[in-house]
Amino acid sequence: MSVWLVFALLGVGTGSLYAAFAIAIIIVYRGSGVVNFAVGAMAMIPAIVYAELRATGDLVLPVILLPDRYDLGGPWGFWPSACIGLAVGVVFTLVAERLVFRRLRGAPAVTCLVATVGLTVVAQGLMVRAAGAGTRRTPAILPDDVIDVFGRSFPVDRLWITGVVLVLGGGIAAGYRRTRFGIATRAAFLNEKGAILLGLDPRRLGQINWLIATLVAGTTGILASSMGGVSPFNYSLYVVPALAAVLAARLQSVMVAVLAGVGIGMFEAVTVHMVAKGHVPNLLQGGFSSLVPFAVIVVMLIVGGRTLPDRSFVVEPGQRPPAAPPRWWVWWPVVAVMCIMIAVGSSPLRFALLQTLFVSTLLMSVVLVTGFIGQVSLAQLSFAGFAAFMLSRFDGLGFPLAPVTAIVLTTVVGTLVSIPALRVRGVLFAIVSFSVAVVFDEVLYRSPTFVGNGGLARVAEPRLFGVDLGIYAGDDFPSRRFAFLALACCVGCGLVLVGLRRSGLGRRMFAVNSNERAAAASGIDVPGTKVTAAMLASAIAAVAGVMFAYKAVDFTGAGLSAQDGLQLLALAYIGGIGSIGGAVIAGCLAPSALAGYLLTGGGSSIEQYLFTGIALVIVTVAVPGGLAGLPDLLRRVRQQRRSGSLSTTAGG
Amino acid sequence: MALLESRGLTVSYGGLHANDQVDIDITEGKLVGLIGPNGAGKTTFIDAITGFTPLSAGTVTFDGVDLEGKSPDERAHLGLTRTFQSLELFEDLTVRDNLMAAAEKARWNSFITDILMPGRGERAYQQQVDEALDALDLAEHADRLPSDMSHGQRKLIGVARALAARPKLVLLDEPAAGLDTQESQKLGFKLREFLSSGMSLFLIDHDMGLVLNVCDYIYVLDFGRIIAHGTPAEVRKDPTVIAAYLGESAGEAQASAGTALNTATEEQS
Repeated sequence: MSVWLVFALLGVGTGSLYAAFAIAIIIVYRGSGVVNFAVGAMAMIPAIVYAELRATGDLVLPVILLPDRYDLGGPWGFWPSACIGLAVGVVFTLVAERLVFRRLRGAPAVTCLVATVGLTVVAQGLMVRAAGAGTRRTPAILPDDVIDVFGRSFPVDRLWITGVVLVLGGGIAAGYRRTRFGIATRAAFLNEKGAILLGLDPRRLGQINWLIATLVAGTTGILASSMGGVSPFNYSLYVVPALAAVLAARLQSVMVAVLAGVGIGMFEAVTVHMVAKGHVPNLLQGGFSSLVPFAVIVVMLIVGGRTLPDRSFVVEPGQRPPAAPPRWWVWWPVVAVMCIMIAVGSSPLRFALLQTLFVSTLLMSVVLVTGFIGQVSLAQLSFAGFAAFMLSRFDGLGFPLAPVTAIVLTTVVGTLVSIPALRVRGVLFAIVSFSVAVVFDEVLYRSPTFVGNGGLARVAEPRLFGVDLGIYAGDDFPSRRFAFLALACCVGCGLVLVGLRRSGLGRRMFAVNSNERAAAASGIDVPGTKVTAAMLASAIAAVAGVMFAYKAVDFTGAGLSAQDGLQLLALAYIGGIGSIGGAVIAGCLAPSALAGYLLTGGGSSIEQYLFTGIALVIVTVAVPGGLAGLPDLLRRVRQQRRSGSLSTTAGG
Repeated sequence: MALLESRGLTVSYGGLHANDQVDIDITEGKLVGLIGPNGAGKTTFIDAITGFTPLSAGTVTFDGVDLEGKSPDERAHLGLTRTFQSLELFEDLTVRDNLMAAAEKARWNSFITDILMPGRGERAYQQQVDEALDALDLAEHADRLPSDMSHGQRKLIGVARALAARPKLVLLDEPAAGLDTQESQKLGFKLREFLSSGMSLFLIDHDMGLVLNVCDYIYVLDFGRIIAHGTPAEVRKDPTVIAAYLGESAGEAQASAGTALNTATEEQS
């Protein structure tokens, strides 16, 4: 018994981090209505600046076009380093708030969420450029003695950080209840128009709340850098448990979120102990503890969700349905050019094309869930990964049968996963799907049963009627036969979408996307339509996953993680979420795909990663339809200008 | 037996009875109205009948089928459709597609046939949709988006969408709200026309002129209870109705306005 208690106590340290991030997320949400995925990045920037100042005395800045490293002479002490670190974080947030979130007021919550994803990518890219991707630990800040608990040694700094976060949470909760500023923030959150009429400035309130959140996240980030270390990426992983705590608090109560965060940390530590003790089946050994936040999220959403929004439900402005699919005279030349590339192109060009085809196919499944049915899914890449591993598991069945089995299994899993998510929509759906991706990432891709020895999976080359269709067939790598096969799969998925868009099912999906209540009243089976969409989307994702496996031959979970899923969604938005053309454009822009090869000679780099983030932020703010929506946007602007000039001449 | 019967229908939110023991019969081929002041529970009644709000007690039978446990879409398939006070159109679909989405009956295998042969099987519904468009003079706007149209036209799209599936009974939630007197009169004529094509209608509205003029039978709801019912002439004279709803003097003025309108429309036709 006491052993479990010790492990639970060990978890309060991590739990406090979740709690602090949860506080920051709630503050930003109440202040500006944005569900902030970037909270990890907001903690990471001050922490890395602080760590660099402590270690080398160099000031590193998250900037482009300017030098990002300044020698301030000699390692610095705690207070100056921490203050400079927080100041850098505050400036970064101010700039982001001013350039991005202020312009997104009134935009769909999901668009704001995607913008914070973009911001995360930008912050990570900038800090990797400035300070490198490594993890650094800083000297202890809080007392770090070791005390004796039930005969086991216990680092006391865990309790200290919990105390700090509890005090912080209590202070903030009281501040928002008592002070004029806190009451004004709540008023503006509940009724923005009313607040403006009372003489409050919601934009200013939002800005101050962003600053408070940055200080909370930054302080915790600096403290945590002395315990587990900080890298440009590790804090972003705490966002999922933090979101679980935020949902447990129904996006409202700071204190409930703090307690939930600490509780989740304790449960995770206990599950780690369970794995070590062998209480957990082999299948789940990989990352059993990551199931805790997932379970919290799912239970909270299902308990709190409704199958149909009721009369008081504020309809979030949804995703626009996809524009008409490109005309045949755009469509077929693209396919023809790809055929020519395969037939006469060089080996690196063909390889880049294969990457484009894989990403395009995968994004077609995103188009289906996001563009057609209006749910932003971050889990599609995970379904592709599932299919890839299933293919390697059932490879013995031979070519047509093994991929078909993998696709069918993935479709079943994707459909099952979609059923609990029926009760959630909008930004909450994005959160659920991201936590699904994390579970796939942590549990399945590291499970010895599922992935095989050492996490390395392998597939044999596809062979039909004795003809080798694999990527190594013939002496010219990658083989042309395989490339044509991949092209055929991609075009096939595209045709399914085109057909769907014209069909009654597509119309029902748009109707559900547009207004669920009205759809139900019109005799459309809303849950059934959503499940059908999820089923088709996971089937298309599975096709992409099979493509991935045959392309790589030997592969691990690398490139299939939840973080990669975020970058994929970023690409989808840049290309134009919800349009088939957008999926293809995004496929060209993906790392080591066509655009990269043609422009820079191939390869992927941190610059590309950073560029993706910046482009994503610009697209969410300025071009909601993505690159594929540009012609439409330009046409509308031109029309407006023409009608504007007409009305002025009429007026004159 | 009436087409739709509610018996002891009660909807409670906490301790508040939004609908309390409501018994209503909607006879086939008739236009039945429900009136009552704001907050009387009129929309709650439609929500309860169409499956958007769970019943706390009571039963609803439609066309001989007990509706308990049926989802809104299943009720729509039985031939029970509705409009919304707040319209709730599919803003991103053209007017025709708004109606098509409601007219088409999906089967379990539709997604396969839809993907393999898109557009097949649509023809059967095209005619139904064209009829509904014609009935509300929307044919020339069929390819526009609802968001580009006037409020009056948008109201008509909502009605057309409820008609597109050829239902047996349409529940109309304040179809005349926000229309001017002339548009409201025109809508009244249309509603009477639909009755002659074998459909039954149930109407909630604030426009007393419209309700008293076009309905065959009227129920009066106040604080969730039915306080009176009868033909328009009976309801207009009922002292409880005058006291509770129409008000002593204002009500008389409105009622006489209704009578004036009545004669005016009679003259017109």
